[in-house]
Amino acid sequence: MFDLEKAVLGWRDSREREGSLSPRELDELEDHLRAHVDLELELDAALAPERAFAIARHELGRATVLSKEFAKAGKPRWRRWLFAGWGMYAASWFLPVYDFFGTSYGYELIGELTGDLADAALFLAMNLAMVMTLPVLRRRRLSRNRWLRRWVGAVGVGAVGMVIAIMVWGSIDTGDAGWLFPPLFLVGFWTWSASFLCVARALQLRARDWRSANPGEILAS
Amino acid sequence: MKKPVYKELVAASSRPMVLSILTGGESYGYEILKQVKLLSGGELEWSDGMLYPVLHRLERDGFIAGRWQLTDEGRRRKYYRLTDRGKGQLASDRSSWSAVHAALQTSWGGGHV
Repeated sequence: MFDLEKAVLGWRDSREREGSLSPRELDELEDHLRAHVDLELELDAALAPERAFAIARHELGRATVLSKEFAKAGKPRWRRWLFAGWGMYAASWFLPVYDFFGTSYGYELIGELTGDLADAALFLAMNLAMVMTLPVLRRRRLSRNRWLRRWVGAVGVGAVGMVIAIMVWGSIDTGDAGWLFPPLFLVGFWTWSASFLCVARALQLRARDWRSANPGEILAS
Repeated sequence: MKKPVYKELVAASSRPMVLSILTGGESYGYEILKQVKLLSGGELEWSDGMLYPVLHRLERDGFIAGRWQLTDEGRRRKYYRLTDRGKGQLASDRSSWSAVHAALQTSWGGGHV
């Protein structure tokens, strides 16, 4: 015997597996589908629920057509943050990072950094986070990963925090080598740090899009 | 049989149509679609799937605002309402469409210059 509830859930499961529509979009379409079925049954009491469901599903359209229609709604806000972040990140590699006693340095000093294994590992880990965000555009589900969002955000906040701390204290205790007066951080550094914050924001917005709607949470806001 | 309104015109009129419907108060997708069919006497052919991208675009542009609510049946439903910005846009759209309508009416009535 036909079970309407099962049929609707089955329709939703199939769309979810295809992965082209977000849970939030599917929430809205599922409500539409149910409302349409209700109306069909209300208009014709003799209509079988199976037939009403088939009509509603047919009129809603195929998932591929729907996702194309949704794409026409324009680029979501998170994409702007993501592209801005990536653009800033790429630009930062060509900009001066800091000024030390009147000389500007860029990331060519990485070679010197890699002399210390711990520094090199930290530097690679920070930049690897940014590289790992690249598939977000294609694989929408990746952006649900909280760890990646936190990792990217922590790099941005950590870098800015570190520099602010240095600026506040004015010098760095290097241990045996004594006190080192800090370099002046230039546009390349700030661009690099800001790029991580932008991408973290993009991932946060993307994750929100990918969550199913929570009426209690939204009503409370 | 009457030919349906061509799709470019349907698309162009989608914004003022949705904004106008929402002047009557908060509403949700399926209800808006029913209103479109009712107001146009079925002449504007809006597919079910076409409506939501239109709503999302209007929401992104700040013309309407959405909020999720649970229905009596316990379903999640997104309700949309017109914002102040949307009211302004509707006034502007109304003026433009009236100008087009007036020009065509004059032309068809033989009153063209």
